[in-house]
Amino acid sequence: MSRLFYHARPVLVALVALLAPMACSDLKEDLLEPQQPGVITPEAAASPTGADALRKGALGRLRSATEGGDGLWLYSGLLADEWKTGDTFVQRVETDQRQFQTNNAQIIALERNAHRLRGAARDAIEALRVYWPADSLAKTYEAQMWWVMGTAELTLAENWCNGMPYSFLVDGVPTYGAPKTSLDGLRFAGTHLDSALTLATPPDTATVTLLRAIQLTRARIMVDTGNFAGAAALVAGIPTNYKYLQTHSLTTSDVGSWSFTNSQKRWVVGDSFDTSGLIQNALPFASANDPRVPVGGNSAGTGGACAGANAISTTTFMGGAPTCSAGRAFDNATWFVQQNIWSRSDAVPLLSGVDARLIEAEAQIQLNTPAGDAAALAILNTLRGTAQYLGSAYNSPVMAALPAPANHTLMTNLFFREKAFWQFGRGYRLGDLRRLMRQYGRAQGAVFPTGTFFKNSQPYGTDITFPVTTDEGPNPQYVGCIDKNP
Amino acid sequence: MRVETAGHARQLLLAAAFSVAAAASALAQGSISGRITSKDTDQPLGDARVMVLGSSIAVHTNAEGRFRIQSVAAGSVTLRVNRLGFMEAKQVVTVTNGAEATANFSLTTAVQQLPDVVTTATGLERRVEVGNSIGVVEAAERVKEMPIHSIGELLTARAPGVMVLNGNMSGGAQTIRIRGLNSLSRSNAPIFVVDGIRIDGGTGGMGTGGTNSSRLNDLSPEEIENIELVKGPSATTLYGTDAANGVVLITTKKGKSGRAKWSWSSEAGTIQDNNEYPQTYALWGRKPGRAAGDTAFRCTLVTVASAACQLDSATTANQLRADGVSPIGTGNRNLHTLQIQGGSDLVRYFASGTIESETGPISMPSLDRLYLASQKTEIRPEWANPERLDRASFRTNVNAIVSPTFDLSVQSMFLRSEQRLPQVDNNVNSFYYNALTNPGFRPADGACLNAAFCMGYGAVSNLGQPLNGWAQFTPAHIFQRTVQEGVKRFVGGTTASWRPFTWLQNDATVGVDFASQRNFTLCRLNECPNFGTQRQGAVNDNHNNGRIFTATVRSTGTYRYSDWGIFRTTVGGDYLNNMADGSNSGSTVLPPGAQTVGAGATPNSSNTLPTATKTLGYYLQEQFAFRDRVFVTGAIRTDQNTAFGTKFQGVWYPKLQASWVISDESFFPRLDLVNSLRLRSAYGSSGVQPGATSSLRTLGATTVSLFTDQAALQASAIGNPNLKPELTTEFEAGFDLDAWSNRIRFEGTFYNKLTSDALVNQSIAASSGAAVTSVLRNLGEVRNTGIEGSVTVQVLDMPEIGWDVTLAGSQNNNKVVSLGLDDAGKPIPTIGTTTRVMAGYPLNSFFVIGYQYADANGDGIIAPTEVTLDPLTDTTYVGQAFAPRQATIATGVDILKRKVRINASFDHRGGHKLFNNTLGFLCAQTTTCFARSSLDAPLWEQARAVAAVAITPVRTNFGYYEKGDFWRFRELSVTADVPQKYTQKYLRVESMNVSLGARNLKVWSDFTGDDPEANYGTGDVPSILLTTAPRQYYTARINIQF
Repeated sequence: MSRLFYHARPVLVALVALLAPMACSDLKEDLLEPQQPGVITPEAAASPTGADALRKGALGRLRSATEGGDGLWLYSGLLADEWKTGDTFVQRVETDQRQFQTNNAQIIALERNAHRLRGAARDAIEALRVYWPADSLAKTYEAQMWWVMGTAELTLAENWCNGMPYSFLVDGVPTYGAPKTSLDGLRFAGTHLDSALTLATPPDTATVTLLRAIQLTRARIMVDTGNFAGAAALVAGIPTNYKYLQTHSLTTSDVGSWSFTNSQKRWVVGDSFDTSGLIQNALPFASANDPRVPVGGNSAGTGGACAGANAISTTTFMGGAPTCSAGRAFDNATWFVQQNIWSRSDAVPLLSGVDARLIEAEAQIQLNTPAGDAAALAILNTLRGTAQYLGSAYNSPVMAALPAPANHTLMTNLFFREKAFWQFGRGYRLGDLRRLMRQYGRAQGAVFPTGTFFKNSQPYGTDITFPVTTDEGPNPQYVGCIDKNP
Repeated sequence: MRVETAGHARQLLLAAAFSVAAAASALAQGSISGRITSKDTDQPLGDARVMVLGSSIAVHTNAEGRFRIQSVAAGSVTLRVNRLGFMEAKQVVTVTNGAEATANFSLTTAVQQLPDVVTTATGLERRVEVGNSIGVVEAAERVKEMPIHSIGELLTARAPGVMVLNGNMSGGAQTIRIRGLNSLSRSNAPIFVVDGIRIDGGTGGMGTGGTNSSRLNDLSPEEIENIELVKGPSATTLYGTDAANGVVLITTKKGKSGRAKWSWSSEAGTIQDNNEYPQTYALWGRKPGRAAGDTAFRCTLVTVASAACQLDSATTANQLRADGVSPIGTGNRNLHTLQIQGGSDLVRYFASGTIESETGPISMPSLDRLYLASQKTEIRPEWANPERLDRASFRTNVNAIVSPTFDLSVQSMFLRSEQRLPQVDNNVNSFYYNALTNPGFRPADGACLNAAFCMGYGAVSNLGQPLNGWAQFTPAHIFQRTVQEGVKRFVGGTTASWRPFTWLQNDATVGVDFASQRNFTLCRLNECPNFGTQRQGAVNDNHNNGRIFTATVRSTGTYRYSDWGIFRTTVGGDYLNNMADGSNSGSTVLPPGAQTVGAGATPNSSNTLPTATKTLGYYLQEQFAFRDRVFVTGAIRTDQNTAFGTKFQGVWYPKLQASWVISDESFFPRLDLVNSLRLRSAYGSSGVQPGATSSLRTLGATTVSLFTDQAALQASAIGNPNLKPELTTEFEAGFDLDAWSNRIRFEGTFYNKLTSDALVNQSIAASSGAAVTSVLRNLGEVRNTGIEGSVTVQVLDMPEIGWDVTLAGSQNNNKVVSLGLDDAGKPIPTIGTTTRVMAGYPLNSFFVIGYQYADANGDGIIAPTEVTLDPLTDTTYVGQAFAPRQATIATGVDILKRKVRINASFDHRGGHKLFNNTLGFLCAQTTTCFARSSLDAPLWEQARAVAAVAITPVRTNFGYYEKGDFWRFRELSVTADVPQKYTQKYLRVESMNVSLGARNLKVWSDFTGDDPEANYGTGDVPSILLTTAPRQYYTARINIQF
């Protein structure tokens, strides 16, 4: 017997090996649980507070997709004439030169952020509909999210070329859409904003603020699609001192244009000239000495180097422009000019009553009559005649009235110049330059920065929109830009 | 922890249970004793391993060379003796019931110093029984003689197929890859096991521009006996999920029976950085038509050629080589180790203490010291020497024979290190950045107070400090930013071996690697460069904990079927729990003197996501030895892992190996030249697990300012419930040949491995609105094939002199077979743009738009119009980032009656391309690079700069992708033994030797960057941007035994 057992030892050991795992299935459960205690699973949002947290998350993405970080407001202004790059990143250099590669990582990030904003609004709407009680806030919150979604679609349509798809993600699975024209994008946005208008029913103050934001955004779409009169009518009731603010704090986020200009010196306020000479068509934001765009430093680096410690620290320039050069930007080559409208944690108006008045003024311009031009000028001078809120720490001072231009073309030029200074750095400029081509018949060479690009002494490129980037590649229907029409 | 403890206890009980269940009847038993001596010297040999063939019994000899084996089954048994440095010996002994047999051995010295016994997942095995190739690094011997300062250096160029790219700054992290790259998305680093305990070999969290610290470097080479490199899945199957990239098995020194032996080693040396960092250039001129003496205007070659600038003169500068200005000086290192080992036949101990300090060559330049002194600013030690490493480690290993059937060993290591680094690499505050963007000249005092006279270069910084040629910031402020890492680490464990019967051995190991890491960065108020808000004061204090718990149990039953066949069955299981968590805190706006988070005006904090990746695996292995010359091993392992998707329940890994000592066969021709020939082959699978949370759909928490700060949620990862591990299956075959009286040893291995279900980050189109850019899926296939070979020749083997040479090399062929299908069912063609993962090409291949150039007007200058882009739709395959080819030449010469040994090694890496981003960046961003502002720049240099800067419609860095091939004179050492008559008479020590060593002496390469090993990354693609090149170490070491 013992001999038999002796010879059977390997078999015995193997049997034990096979049986052991089966014998301890409960042990396996013990050893492998819990899995990842730190993660937040989707079940966390399955409640009213969870749905509301998603809503707030979408509002956070709204900030990221507009003026957060070196976001859309900065980049669209870089492709236009509001900013120039003082950076070493080639992605910013090629944006400034209007000569994109379709894999530009920074543009990819902007494109992602805009679409993420759509997705976040959609997530929040679905959660609010399921989990939020049918109280008075339900409609307001849903309206807010439709407005957020419409805003995202508006930014994609205004700044990207024709060919942008609008897809969705359902339970982690993408449903890809076909390329759409910018006009299609504006229609989507209009539809969603119309939903928002229907749901946003005052009288509570928060809803009034929201309703005006929806109206202003809807009106902007109308302007983009040529319905100037309708846009003016929609915003007529919005007071000039209205503002929809995006706020900041040291513990959440900094104002993007402060962080990337004043703090990091990667961005420089644009000008009509640089070391390569004049930049055709570019407005002299840095050198105009216009109180709506207060700056520090100058584009020529004149005045000698600032002496003494902290000479160009943020605090020194906050009170006004220095009398000396602000030195070089991040790239150690470009003369640095910083904006002095917003400081680190200021509130920034996403929308304002000034925007409403400018919509009304443009509707008058569109009449193409002397009376219309006069009315538009009157609106502009009314704005100049009153201190206007530009940021929580900066109001524009009262400015002298403008004389009447000699003709309608000059009036149009004046209007867009005034609009550019009033809305500096807030994501309007690129759309306006494209509209000058699309709606006012101007040539690209008469609208966009043209000439020799200062970083490499080569000509400016011909891009006037952001491309649909290669990040859209996984979409089977991806074609890139259908065209680059304005 | 309750779960782990309970679980482990239950595992042990299980192991005990099936051991007891297998209890057999007691057979007649006796014992064997004997003595092992050297045939040449007749001296006793301690630490020889004596094993009874066909059983689990193995003992070691004591210092007198004696051994005694109890409980041996009566009858005829075969004893086998292995000892490093001697030929294996066997002897048949007859054991009678209740009696003690005697077996003495006299071992012949081996010419080749290769260990006969290697470590495997199922315990120690003879090398000839293993079907795969194993690289062995005899660490203890090498460290005593060679200039080795880290584990990375210990592994560099030691084994074919093992690629090591060391960090270049003090304590910098290394990259280790074995047999190419398998994974598209996960780390391709091997796993690390110390004395059976899994440890963290990753990187730290230092806030520089790239260079990071290494957890692997926490281990002191002084404490290591040897390192075995288990190269691929054919050998790592039983190590389970995560072992597909190889396993580095580290065995620490153990005690040896005999009187206590002390050893003391001290090392001192200097560190020099003699690399040639790029010069900067300036062409001084004036605008056309202006008179000489007009305001200086910066020309470039292009503007000179186009007559847009009238050239007057040229200057050049090198901020990193200018006296008084350069922060690159001479560093130093010191190391002191005291070790003791000894014990009795029953208890052996080893204890070691090492203190080490290294001050890198980066230090505050004298001009900056003077400036700070003029500001009445006291220079803190961390500013004066911002690159510094201090480390102290203690190890205790105890092995006890509790009873004739029960052994217990306890290993423990405690380490404390403090490391600091300056701002380097890809960082606007980097001193490299500020040095290499120098304006092309270094102005004399006062010369550039008006920037207009110096082509726009101001003489003072924005803080009013004389720049002395620095671009924006000087070391006076750059080095004020303190970046420190403090690590406290404990690695400990215990192994128990219980042999209830002569045929059964049970082993259990429990261990933990606990690492507490603190990363601290500080800019006090009004310190650091004037960039961002850091001069308002900023501090970050992050604490991270890593815990790896290892538990293994296994039982091995050995069955001697007959004289010609022995079976060995092993069943085992192991459990691994890899946990990490941490908390981050920081604040800005510090009051004067403050340097803590709480003192700041705006404190904030967060925590890193706690993660736990747990693996539970079981395996069964059957080995068969036929006449001690044919060995066949088959095994199967199954794993469950918490990183797998919820819809994937487990994975199975098979293994099959064969080893045949064909030269022992009767039919093998008896050749004088051939001593032994072994053929071997192995097949096996292993895996790489997904990321800890990759399978999960998650939301992310964020805080949003909505007039007040409010908590919010945002969608995050999409997750994939079907995730499973990457499965890498490898076949390898090779041979080991000893010839010419064992003075030549050849090893050759071919391998072919296929990684299937490769984890691919499948991109999701932006328009989907997904929060993430990709989702992890098992889609791809990657194939690696290659050959490895080495030959070691004892050219001279005489009493007076000896000379040995080792030539080793490897070639890896890597190819992405497939990237799988997208959601529409179409093959995914490529991932990435410039650095691509693309079917049909090696992983991380470079694709760039090419260009052509010609100096059409013959003016010696390449203008933008003279560079023509290749078609934009046709990017060119430039090469792969990973070096597929390696070679090593190592030689040692013993002279003066073998009292002096000279070692030298050269190694080669090639077949790959490097992106010379340093020059590419400098030429793109500044006009001061050689190619743009030197009249001596050759046309090809000018062309690549023009292509990177000034051509339309797209710029291309094609010209900066260069051959990365190099040969390096890696190590040189001279070690002299002090004659014993002096050491014993005058110093009263047993032995002493002195070693002089030098490292990284010379490199030969066509690469135009600083060095083909200049790199700060730890990934699969080297990061060469404004970074440190390998330094030269010159060290002296003394080793004393007493």
